[in-house]
Parts: sequence; C-alpha cells; structure tokens
Amino acid sequence: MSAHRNQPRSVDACAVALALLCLFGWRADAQAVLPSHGMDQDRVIRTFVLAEQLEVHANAAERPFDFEVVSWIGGDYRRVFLRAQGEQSTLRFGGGELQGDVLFGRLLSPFWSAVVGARVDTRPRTAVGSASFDVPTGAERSGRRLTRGSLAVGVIGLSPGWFETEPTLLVSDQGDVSFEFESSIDLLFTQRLIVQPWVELNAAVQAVPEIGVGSGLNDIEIGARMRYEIRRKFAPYVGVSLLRRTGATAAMAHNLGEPRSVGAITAGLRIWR
Amino acid sequence: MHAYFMRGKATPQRPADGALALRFSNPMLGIMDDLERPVVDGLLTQPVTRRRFVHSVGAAGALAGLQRLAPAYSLAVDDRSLEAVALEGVKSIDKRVDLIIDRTPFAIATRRGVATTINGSVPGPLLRFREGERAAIHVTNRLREDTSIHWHGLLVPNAMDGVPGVNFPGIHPGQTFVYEFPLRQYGTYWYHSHSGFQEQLGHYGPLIIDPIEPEPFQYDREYVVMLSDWSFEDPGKILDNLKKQSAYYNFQRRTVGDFFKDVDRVGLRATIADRWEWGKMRMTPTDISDVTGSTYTYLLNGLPPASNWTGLFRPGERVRLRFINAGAGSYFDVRIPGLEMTLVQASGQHVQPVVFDEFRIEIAQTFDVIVQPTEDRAYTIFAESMDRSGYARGSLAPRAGMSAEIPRRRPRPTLTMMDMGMAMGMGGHEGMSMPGMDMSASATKPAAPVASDHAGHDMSGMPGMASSGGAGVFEGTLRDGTIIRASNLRAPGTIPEPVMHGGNTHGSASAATAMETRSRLSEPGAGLGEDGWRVLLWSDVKRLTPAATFEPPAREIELHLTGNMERYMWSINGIKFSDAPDPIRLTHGERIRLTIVNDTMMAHPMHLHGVFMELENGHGPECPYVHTINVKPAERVSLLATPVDPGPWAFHCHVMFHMDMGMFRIFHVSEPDGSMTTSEGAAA
Repeated sequence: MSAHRNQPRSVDACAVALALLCLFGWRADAQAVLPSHGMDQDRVIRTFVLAEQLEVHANAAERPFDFEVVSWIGGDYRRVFLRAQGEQSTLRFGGGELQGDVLFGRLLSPFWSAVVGARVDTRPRTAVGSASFDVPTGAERSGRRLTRGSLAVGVIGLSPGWFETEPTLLVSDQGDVSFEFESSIDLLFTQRLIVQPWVELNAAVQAVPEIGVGSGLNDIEIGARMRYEIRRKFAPYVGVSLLRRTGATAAMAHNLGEPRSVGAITAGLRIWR
Repeated sequence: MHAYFMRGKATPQRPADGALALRFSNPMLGIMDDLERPVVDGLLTQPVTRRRFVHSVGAAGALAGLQRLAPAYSLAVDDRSLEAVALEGVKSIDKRVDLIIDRTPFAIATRRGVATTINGSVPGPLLRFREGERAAIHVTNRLREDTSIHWHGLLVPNAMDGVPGVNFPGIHPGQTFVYEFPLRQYGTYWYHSHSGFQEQLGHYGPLIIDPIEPEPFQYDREYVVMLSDWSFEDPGKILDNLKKQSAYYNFQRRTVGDFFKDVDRVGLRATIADRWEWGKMRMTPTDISDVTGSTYTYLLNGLPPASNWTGLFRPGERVRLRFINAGAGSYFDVRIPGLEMTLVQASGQHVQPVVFDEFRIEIAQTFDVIVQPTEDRAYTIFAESMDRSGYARGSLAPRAGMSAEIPRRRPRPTLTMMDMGMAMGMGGHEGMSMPGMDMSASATKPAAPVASDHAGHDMSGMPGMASSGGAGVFEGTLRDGTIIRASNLRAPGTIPEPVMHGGNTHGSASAATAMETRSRLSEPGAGLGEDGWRVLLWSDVKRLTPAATFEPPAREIELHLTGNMERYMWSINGIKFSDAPDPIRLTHGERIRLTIVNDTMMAHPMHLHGVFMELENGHGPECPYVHTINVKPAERVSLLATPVDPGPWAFHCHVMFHMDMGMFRIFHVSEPDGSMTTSEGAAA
C-alpha cells in the first residue's frame, strides 16, 4: 500500500488532462478529411463529446459540483471512448474525486461495443481508512489522497428497451477487483422535455478501507434528470438522486458519521458536440 | 402535334455559334432584370455580386431569398404567361449547352445561405433535347471542390455517366468537362451532382427529351414540378448530427402521453407489449425520415411554400405536370385537391393510363401526370413530406396571384409490425423453414458454386443446383454477401413469393433482418391509403406496349439493404461500400433478375445507373420500366434488366446520406467479348 501513498501530483494532472481532452475532444475535423466524391464518407473519423452532467447540488455540502463527460473518437466499428467524472467540494480544497477512463472499443454486435482500457482515479482517504493505517486524521486528511490506476474491461451499448447501459469490470494496480454498472433511459414527455431516470451500482470483491469501500455491494444510486432540449445539443436540467450505501461500505460510512442514504437535488446542463 | 408551352419568358436562345442558353427574367420580383443581358456561349457575361444579392433580397422582402435563386421556369408568373412562348424542340445536331457550377450566396430574412447553383439558379436550368440527337454539355466548375453531373435515368456511355470514382475522376475546380452522348430515349428526367453533398445544396435540374414518335396522349400545356429540400444547415453538419444522434431531426417521436393514449385505446397489456416489441429491436415506429422539416424547407421548383409557385391554365385545358423528386432525403405524397391525376409516364417511359388522387414519389423518381382543371379557380399542388413534418406547395390557377386552401397536414405515419417483417400466414409455404446458409461461412469457400444457391433465402432455389456463371464472378459476389442464383428461377414478370430470411444476419452493420420479406407493390405505404381517395400503386402500373419478347432471367442477383440506425450506418448485405471487396460482375447482354430485399425499417429509393430496370409487378411483358424504385421496409422487390453498355455502373440508395454512408455498390458490365474494362474513375 505504501507504494502509492504519496503519489506525485502528476497522476492528478494526468487525470485532469484526460478530463480536458474529453471535454474538448481532439478536433478530428470531419470536413477536412471529406473527399470530394461520396465514396469514402462512410470512413470519416468523428469526435463526439457529451457533457452529460455539469451540475451543482442544491443541498449537499460535501460535493456541490459534479461533472460527467463521455466522448468517443472514431468510425463505425472502432472507437476510442473517453470517460471522465468528478466531484469537487467548494468547502474544502482537495477533497474532490476525479476519475478518467481511456477505452478502446470495437463494435461487437449492432448495439454493443466491447471496451478495454485503463482508468486513473483519485479520491481522498477516509477517516476510517486513515485510522486503520495509523495515519493522522483531521486537517491532514484532506491533503492525503489515494490515486489508483486500473485495468477496465466492459461493454457500452444499448440494451433492449432503449437502456443506455455500461457495465465495467475494474482491476486496480493493487489487484482490487470492482464492478460498476450504469444504465439510463430517455422518457419523452414532449419532443423536448425529457426525463432521464438512471441507476448506478458499485460492487467490490476486496475491501479498500482507505477510501471507504467494503467488499460486496457498495452502493446503489438512483436518480432522474429532467432536461429541456432548447437545442438538441443544449439542455438545462434539474435532477434528484438518492444514494444508498450498503453492507460494509455503509458501516464504514456510519463510523465516520456519514449517513447511509444521501439524497440530493441538482441543477445543471447537458451539452454535446 | 402539340406545342410545348412553358410558362414565363424562358426562351431558348441559339446564338450564331450554336450555343443554347436560357435567359432569365423576373417581372414578378423585378430583381432579376440585371441578369437579362447578352448571352455569350450560353453564359451570363457578368457574375452577380454578393452586394447585389443582399441588396436584392432586402428590396424584395423576406421570401425573396430562395426565389432569387429560382430558375426561369419557376418564376415570371403573370397573365401573359397564358400566351407562353413555346419551347421548340431542338432540331440541330451537336446542340451545345453550357452549365456553370458555382456557389451563390443568398438570404431569407436574416438567414444567409450559400447554394451550389447551376447557371446561377436552384434548380438548374431546364435542359430540353430531342430523342435521337446528340447532346454536348459543357460543365464548368467554379467551386473550390470537385463536382460532377449525373444524368439521372439516361442511357449514356459509361464514361459520361458522371459518378466520380466510378465513371470518371470528377470535374476539378476550374475545369470544364464536356459530356457528349446520344439521346437514345424520350421522357422526363433530371440531372444532379454525384459529388459530396452538392445535391442537397441545390445542384440539380430538370431534363426533358422530346420523343420522335408522337406521344399517345394529348395535352394543352405543360409544367415541370420539381420537388426538393433545402436546409440552411451545412449538409456535412446534418450528417454529423445524425451520426451522433440518429433521431436528431425527429421531433415526432412517441411520448409518455402517447403511451397513455394507447393504453386507453388498446389496453395496458397490449401497449406494453407493443413498446417492448419496438424496444427489444431498438427501433422506433416514427422513424420515417432521417432529416425532416425541422431543418428542411421543402421546395417546389425552387420556391418555398409561401412563394406559391403557380402554373397558369385556361379552364378545361389538359395540363401535363412533369413531377420530379430531387429531394436529398425526402419522399413526397402529392395531391391536387379537386383534381384527379392520370399517370402517363413513369421514370420517363410511357405507361398505360392510371387514374388516382394521390401518389407517393420516391426520391429521384419522375412521374408525368395529366390533370384537367375545369373550374375557374385555383388548385393547390400539395406535396407533403412522407413524415408529415412539412410540405412543398404550389398552385394551378387561371390567373396569377390566386391560391386555394392549403390542406391540413395529416398525422405522421407510424411503422407497423409488417414493416418489421413479422411473418404473416406462413403455414403453406414449404421450404421456408430451411435453415439459411451462413454467408460468412460461404465466403471462406468462394469458388464453390453450391454456395451461390442460398436455400434459406429462396423458395424456388434447389440446394445443390450449380450456377452457370464463372467461378470468378461467384467469388466476387459472394465476398460482398450478394446471393446469386442461376437456375429454377420463377417466370419473368411475376411478383416474388414471401420468403423467410436466411441465417445470415449481416453482422453488426445491420440492426435487424426482416423475418419474412414479400412483395409490397400493392400497398400504398406507411401513412397512405386511409383517406378515402385513390392512391397510385406500383402494382397498377403497366408499360404502354407489351414487350414483344420477354426473356426469362438467366441469373438472379439478390442484395439485402441493411442498416444500423443507432450508428447511422447504411450498407448492402451488411457491408458498407468502402468495405465492399469487388464490383458485382455482369455479362454484356445477359438477362438478370435483380432482387432487392429491405432488411431495414426505412424505405429506400434504389437507383441503378446505365440500364432501365423492368419492375416485376405481376404484369409479365407489361412490367413497367423504372430507373428508380422504392423498396419499403421488409419488402422484396424484383426487377429484370438486360445490361449492355459495358463498364462500371453505380447502384445505390438515393437518400443522399444513405448513399454516402455506404448503401452503394458497383455493377460492372463486361465488354461484348466478355472482358472487363478497368474503371477509369477508380484509377483517377
């Protein structure tokens, strides 16, 4: 464990760079590579960048700002997928979480890409984790983070019933195995008013107490965002979410004085290009 | 025997050097007079400046923008038009036409656009020839990119067909390319760019070839009615949006409200079952058009609906309307309330008259109809887009400035389980449960002739029957997934039997396969036929003169139209054109049956260059000739053809973006001695 205890800031920098890359893509300008006739246009490399969530939380003191950006760059069959997400507290500097994925995907069936790649994530150590490793608590804690690299394998696609679904299996550089699952669906109330219920689930094989992760099912988070597509590519939204920690993870949170369930009301923007 | 009356002051000019050009004038708007100046070599002597455009638009009001680009035959409506100048049939040989392809800026209200124009107009000028003549058309490219012109439906020598990369290298910026070909046919056709997205930007125009023989119908007056779609969005951007969100332009999707309406109507269980059926396939029943009225303005002779293109008539006259669908992505449902229409030509060729009240015109199709307005009032030509997201509109009127009521648009159609290819009453069909051969497996042993007989696809196919073609041909056709059959083919001119889809699901480029495909020529299509009036059906169309000899096909070539809407991928046999290994080889003069099977949920207007196809609609030797045919979802269409002109010929979907995304193939016809010419265009 000590190997990465004082990871240099460069890893954080990498993660931030990855997030920025996701945000702005690398501009593979479709127009520039179009031939003048119609023969190779089915091979144009495109860049898709979706800021699914850029939001503030109305009531949660710990993580007032959240973002999640996904991107793909490539053609019809092979794509590089980039995913970045993070949360930042405006109350305490350095308390935020950040993770970025670089995944190489291949279209396996009409609706599913198989992906394999890497994740870098960084998050603060919890008091529970600190205590068990005899690390000072309190003010120092915020300066101490756990940064990990992981191998990620998964699929990205559309499951029957129009659910955007992304299960991912992760093996960290410490050999910790975890699994996450995300799914969402668009329900049209009008052609522009769209409610998007979503569910996210995290599970771990090994406990990583430093970051408050127990073994087994860690948490389930459900929520819904209601967006209004002023333009297809520009949609403000409001959302609600409910995080429910389970099992050992919930117990660790409880020891820290954190609740088992956390609800939030959010407001944000969904934009893409 | 009859005069060709064209409304307005579009007069063919034949200067001393033999050049022909159309002069433009616009008494209605009074802003085009500057264009009426001496014609040199068929070209306007001075280009119109941007400043002039902005000025003109400002002066002529909000709708002037598109009108500003409209060609002579769509403008100049005034009462003098009734005494229209006759467009004489051209008698000279080596008639010369000059066409300049350029970018022309224009504006509607505050919106600016840049159209790709032909001689400064959208659509381009009307080209009018006489059967038996030789055309010499000089096309000059003033764009910053390559261009081309394809003569849609015309039988021309291969090098004149105009598809860059297939027939020739394209026309580079600054170049003039001379198209020269004999006019071997009569009828209404059109011409358009086959380069990039220029077709969506206005690069199209009508083309008429007057027949040598007298026509078997009479009329007093004629108009071209060219339907098209215009967007201020860059077509490359439209495509990019579709690639990233295929429903980007669909603002008619089913909502939660529709769900509860359906629950009221058919009950909760049936509604959930229906939603699950569609959701399981990840398809939407509202996916009628990819690009819709949310970005398209639908045009009639280059004019938006509010401009009300008007064709004048005297009550009682017979008016011939030459409908051309030049849309880049729009089918139109056309009717003229109060008038019945009589079809006299389809795809430019004479047909036995069919009377109806409404027709659906697939993209790139040409229909000539005759109407006879008797009342002294205006009639609306109403061309709804197939998905009902908008319409093009014009009028027939006894005097300028008149208009009739514009009908309400109907609710958008929805696809049904039939469009999914659900099996219907399959009990009696032997052989349909035969397992289909896996094409990927057969591709590994390409030379085996038995693999050409795809039992799972064909009721009449007998496993083990060898084909008469050469092994090399089979190798090519099999590698791109095309099915060849050479024996035991059904009689020519008959409609195909329903067929269960074989085991080949066409890979990840194909979201679905139709479980059962069958002929749907006698169906009007989604959203038509429920209004209590007559709709034109392909099953009712017969050629005028039955074929004296109607040969059976020696080979059947079966292609499956495939797509994956989620990724906006379009292909044939699950293989995009850029991935397709070889052209499909045809022998000079051989009789083929081309069977097109639509495994997608969208309609595709399929067009084969270089040869007329005979649509097998059950009428034997009276099967009509077509250059383009609509293939409905889950439909199986078969056509006969006898290709003779050697060389590579394009075959593609005429939805421009479907073509660009790979729903495209090349048919390579051999020389009379059996050898294959190399494709000049591919080399360049």
